[in-house]
Amino acid sequence: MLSEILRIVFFLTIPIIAIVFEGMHRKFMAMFQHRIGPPVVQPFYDLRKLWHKQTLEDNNDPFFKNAPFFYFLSTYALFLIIPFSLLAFDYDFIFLIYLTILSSGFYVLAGVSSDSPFSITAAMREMVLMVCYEVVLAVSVFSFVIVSGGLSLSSISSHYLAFSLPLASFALIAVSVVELKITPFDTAEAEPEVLTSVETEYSGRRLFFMELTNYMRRLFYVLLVPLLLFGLRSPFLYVTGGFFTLIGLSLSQASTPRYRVDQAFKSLFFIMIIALIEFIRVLSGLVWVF
Amino acid sequence: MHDFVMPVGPQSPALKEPMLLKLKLEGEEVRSVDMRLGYTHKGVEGLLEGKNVDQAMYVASRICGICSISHERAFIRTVEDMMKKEVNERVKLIRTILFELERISSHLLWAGFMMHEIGFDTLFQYLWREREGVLDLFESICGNRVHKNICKIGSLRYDIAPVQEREVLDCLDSMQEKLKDYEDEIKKNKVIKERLKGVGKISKKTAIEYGLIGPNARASGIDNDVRRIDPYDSYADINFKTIVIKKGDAMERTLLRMREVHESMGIIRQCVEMLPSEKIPKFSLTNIKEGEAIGRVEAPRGELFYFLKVEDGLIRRAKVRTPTFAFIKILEKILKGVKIGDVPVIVASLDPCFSCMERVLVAKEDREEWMTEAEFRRKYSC
Repeated sequence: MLSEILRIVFFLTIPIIAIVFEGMHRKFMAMFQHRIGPPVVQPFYDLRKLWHKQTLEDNNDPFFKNAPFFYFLSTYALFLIIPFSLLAFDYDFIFLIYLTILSSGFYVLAGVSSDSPFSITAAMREMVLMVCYEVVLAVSVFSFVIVSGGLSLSSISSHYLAFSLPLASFALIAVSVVELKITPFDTAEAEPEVLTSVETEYSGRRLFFMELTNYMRRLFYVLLVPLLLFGLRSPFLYVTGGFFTLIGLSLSQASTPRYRVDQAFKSLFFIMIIALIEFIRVLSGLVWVF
Repeated sequence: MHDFVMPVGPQSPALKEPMLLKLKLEGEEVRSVDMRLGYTHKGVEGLLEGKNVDQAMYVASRICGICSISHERAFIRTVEDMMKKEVNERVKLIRTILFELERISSHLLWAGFMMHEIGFDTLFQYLWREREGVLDLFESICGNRVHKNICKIGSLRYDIAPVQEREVLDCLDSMQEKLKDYEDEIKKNKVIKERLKGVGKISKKTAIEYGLIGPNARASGIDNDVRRIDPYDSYADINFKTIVIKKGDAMERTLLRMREVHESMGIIRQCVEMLPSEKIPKFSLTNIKEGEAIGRVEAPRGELFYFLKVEDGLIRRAKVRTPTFAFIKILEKILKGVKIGDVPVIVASLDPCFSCMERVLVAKEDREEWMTEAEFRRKYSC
């Protein structure tokens, strides 16, 4: 009963944890770039400012107006499964894949329904990359679930699968870089080319939800990667894994420039092939589980 | 595919100064480019006119924030030619040192900016950190970090003390190793190579047709360097190479500027070694009644040209041709057919500096308008 309450409390505090993680990410970035950087609570200040800002939008499209809220809700729903399953049911990993696609879909919808050419270009780029990275994510997660021998993500919790599935682990880490729009795959958020990407036309509370959801997506991958790689058997290993995932993502952003969209697609295609090879290996039963 | 017009600028993260590029897109590809300038037209030539030479020098040095010494130096070269004035060896060497320090500062600023354009903010921060050392030197020698105002007709405002000579050499030593590392990173990083190689290619023929100058021309195989063609200060007595590369893409332009930084370091080291112990002459107000002269120097972006005509002790006509003015038109040609992702890279790779180049405004669309100078002044009240 106590653990149930703790899980619910954890679920409710997800936005706050996401904001702290974003602050830590900025601090790590500053550390790599020899800057002092903003305080860890800076994202709180940013969001507080956005919450109180006037909304100035010249677009009455209902998709444009509502996409940020659905983007937020679909992303929040991901935390029903990750890291603790609040809704214990079989085949929850399919629900997870469905939600990630839905979340990315609302992000694209927000851009396409906007009038700005910058938002539309950014949404188009995101759509091009989505074709690849959602497949990679799905194939990698399927590989992990099949190898763990269960029907749900909770079955993974008791395994260390990082060494059994090295290629799928690599593909998963790579795809988290793409999903979070971190260099070298941040073409959809390339500031000099498309300004603030799909968020260009948003302001006030809608922009608040877009920003908060971006932070939550970052947290989601920071929680997902160590869960699939190391499981939940050792909480210490899990927390350390999450911490290193965050550092790794920051390091990726700090140490690489940005691909152009066609180059990003080519690299992603390569990652997709790696994930598929691992999937075929899993299906043919050539995997040794630790 | 979606076809629309994407405005890059006047305010855009891709441009650090105002300019409008209207890009007609077909998907991600640029079909045609319409370029608008004139957002920072200040009427600088008008400001120079009607002032005496000593007053005008302050205006000239403020035309550009990045190459302030180049403008000062070009102005002084023109006036000294007009007066047939000889300057002593120490003044010449100190001017050369400052001139090359400014080139290093400008190239590092540009290189950092270029890295930011391709999303490599870490290298951008590192390059600008090195540039801080040069700015500190300027503060120590000239008293200012940006608008230095150190040159005087026939002399300098301040001399360099032996301590400052050591500071200069120490700064260069500490910078050299790090810059080599950064250069290696640019050469070897896979993503940088993919983003810059073969992008914004300018052939030698095109470069000649569009009258390219400075590092952009040298990256396309044209040996064009005022320091060698028409030496001034101590350049005739110093050993240095003019770096010329043939490929003419964004990668070559980046590497060329990085190599020029090392060349400038060599020039500064030679100058510091050659500094004689004589004193710099005291400066006084310029007494010049009549005269007409031209002068040019090799600013960090290319040839900077000045024409001055003095009548009754006042400047009657001033003409300043900045390097960007000479090559900005080529953007319309090389941006056609490229991907939208390459546009910021190509624009940045030319190293444009808008606020010092804007001269005359042609604001009419589809209609040419011819005006006399008086009509133009009346109409735009400048």
